[in-house]
Amino acid sequence: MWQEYAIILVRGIGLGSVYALMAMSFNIVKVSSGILNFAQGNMLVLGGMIAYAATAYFGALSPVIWFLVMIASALIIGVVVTIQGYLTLLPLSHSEDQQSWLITTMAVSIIIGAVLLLAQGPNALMVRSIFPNIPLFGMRVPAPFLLAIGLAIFWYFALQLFMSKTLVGLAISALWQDPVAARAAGLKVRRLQLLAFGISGLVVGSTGFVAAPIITLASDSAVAYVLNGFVAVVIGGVASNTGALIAGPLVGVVAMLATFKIGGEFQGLFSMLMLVAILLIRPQGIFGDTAARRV
Amino acid sequence: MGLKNKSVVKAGHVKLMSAVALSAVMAAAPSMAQTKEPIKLGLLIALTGGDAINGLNGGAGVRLAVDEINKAGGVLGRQIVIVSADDQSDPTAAVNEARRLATQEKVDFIFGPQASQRTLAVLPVLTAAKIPQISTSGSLDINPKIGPYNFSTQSNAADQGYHMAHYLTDVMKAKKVSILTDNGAQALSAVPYIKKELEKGGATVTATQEFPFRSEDKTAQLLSLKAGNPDAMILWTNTPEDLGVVLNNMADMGWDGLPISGPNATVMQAAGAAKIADKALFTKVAGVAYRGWTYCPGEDVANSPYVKFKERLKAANPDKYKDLLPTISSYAYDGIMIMKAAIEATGGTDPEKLKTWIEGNADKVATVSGPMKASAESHFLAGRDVMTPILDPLMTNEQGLFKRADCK
Repeated sequence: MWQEYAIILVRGIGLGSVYALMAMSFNIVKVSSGILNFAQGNMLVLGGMIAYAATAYFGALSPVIWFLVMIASALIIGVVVTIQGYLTLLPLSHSEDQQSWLITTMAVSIIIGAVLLLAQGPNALMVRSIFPNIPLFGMRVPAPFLLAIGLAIFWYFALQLFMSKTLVGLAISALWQDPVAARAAGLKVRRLQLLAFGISGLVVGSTGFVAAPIITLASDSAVAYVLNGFVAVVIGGVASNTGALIAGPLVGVVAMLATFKIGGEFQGLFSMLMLVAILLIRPQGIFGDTAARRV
Repeated sequence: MGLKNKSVVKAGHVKLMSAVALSAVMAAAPSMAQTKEPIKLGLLIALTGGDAINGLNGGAGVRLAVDEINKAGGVLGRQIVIVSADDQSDPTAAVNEARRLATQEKVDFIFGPQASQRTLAVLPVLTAAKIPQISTSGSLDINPKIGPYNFSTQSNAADQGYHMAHYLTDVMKAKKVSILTDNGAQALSAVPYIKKELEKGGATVTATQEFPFRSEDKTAQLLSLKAGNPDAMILWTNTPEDLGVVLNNMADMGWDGLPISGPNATVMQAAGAAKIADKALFTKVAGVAYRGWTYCPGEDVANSPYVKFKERLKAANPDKYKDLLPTISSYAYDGIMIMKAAIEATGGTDPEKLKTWIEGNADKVATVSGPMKASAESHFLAGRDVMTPILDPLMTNEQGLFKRADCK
């Protein structure tokens, strides 16, 4: 019996790690510019499609090639998201209070979805993992679940180090605290914001590539990842990567446990109940900070 | 009366006759023009969204049928023109598009939608507008009372469920069966009927579970079902990804030897599912197929209507044929051919006449999927007799036909 719970835990954490990575990529953009980039779901799918294209082009990838293509995927999506960030930030030049990013990020998401539909049709692309399944607790776990967990931990520490130990990271953190003061202090705000967009692209690009065999790669599948990533952001606390690292797997495990014990029809319901509960009890999220604001 | 007067009378007579003839011609002209007007076919399918794969294949079947009809001179001398509409795999969008087709485009009949949720949503609109409709939806909530002008070339959930259940109880001799379905209207409406048929066959249902379309992992559902220790499973999936993920998850759990019985969709989606699941995992998987798609060893099937249909479909779609599922295209094609026969037989597109004709005469139409039939009580054209269980949906003969499970 305990093996069943152990397997649910491992797979729930694995799937939840994808949500956690989505949440982290949301956070860095949110911290720098206050924007929630709704196009990141499709960027994740694009990362997965690079994995599909690589397999189609090279055949079965060796681990070394796989690793190199993963880095290439992260860089490609990083550049794409930076360009998207530039376009999103362009109309915000004169006022930080404009909400046009809502439209532009959604528009980019819709455009990418439409292009994917035209390019590949309605069928989902399916990618086989190059790594063998791992025997665990008397069953087998596909390697991408474990790789997603590893990637979430890697990006968590990388982002924590970057944000707290480098001048550029500290400057991005400063934007979250007070963008006007940061600008007055001479920080190159736009450049930092674009960098943050690029880093979020690196995160989702690598995630899409690594998790390609366990996520749905279709023109209409991005919404689910945006939604689950958003739930992880809210539950963990906006701008908190520690919160994202905890909340993503929590969402994944709770959904699977609800399915196992109660039924598959309650899978989505429990995630939403968690969201509502957090908003009622601790609106700033588990690891979120409250901030005083002059009104 | 003098000669002059006679000629005046004659001239007046000629003028009168000319006026009468001219009037007659003028009066006939609009009706002649009207009869030569094209027949408008509303193609209400999913071009986008999660069900666009059905739209792609259904649309290909419809276009082939329309192309063949038009090349042969049309219906009653009238060409068929397609008015395309995208229901976006969404019931709300389907209703909006159905309304547009009915009120703005004023179509004569509609093909689609191709999923029960959307068909149920558009029925009130199309029934009020009295527009004959061929859908490919199998939910048992769709019936002639709420959709008098709707006919479906998809086998309904109960008829598919009958074969799925009896394959396990009668052929596999299963005594304990679990049920796993997606959360679509068709699958969920089938569950009570499947349970009833399993019980009739002497089996008990150990547990029932469901999953959302295209969900990444079904391990939790499967672990929950496995706890009941069933000796077979009913598995209702509608997408290749879902079928492939379930089979992979079962293999990861060491549960891949379990006999599985699936619906019509299993047969159609298996090739896609094999992109992520090993072929060996399909050997214990059964599905329900239209008889026209099947064979038994020794039968001469090289010239079967379905094989010939596939050849024509390939010729019409040389570039994208490799991405098509001819199975789905075939019953879409059949739907158009039944409507064409009804229009020809009734002399027009009157909805009441078409409905009555199809109810009584659909079985007289040559179809490629299998013999279709309807009645005043059921508008599901592919009844229980048209369907048959097949084993291992990946194992096809050189013509791409599936081997029936009841072959001797």
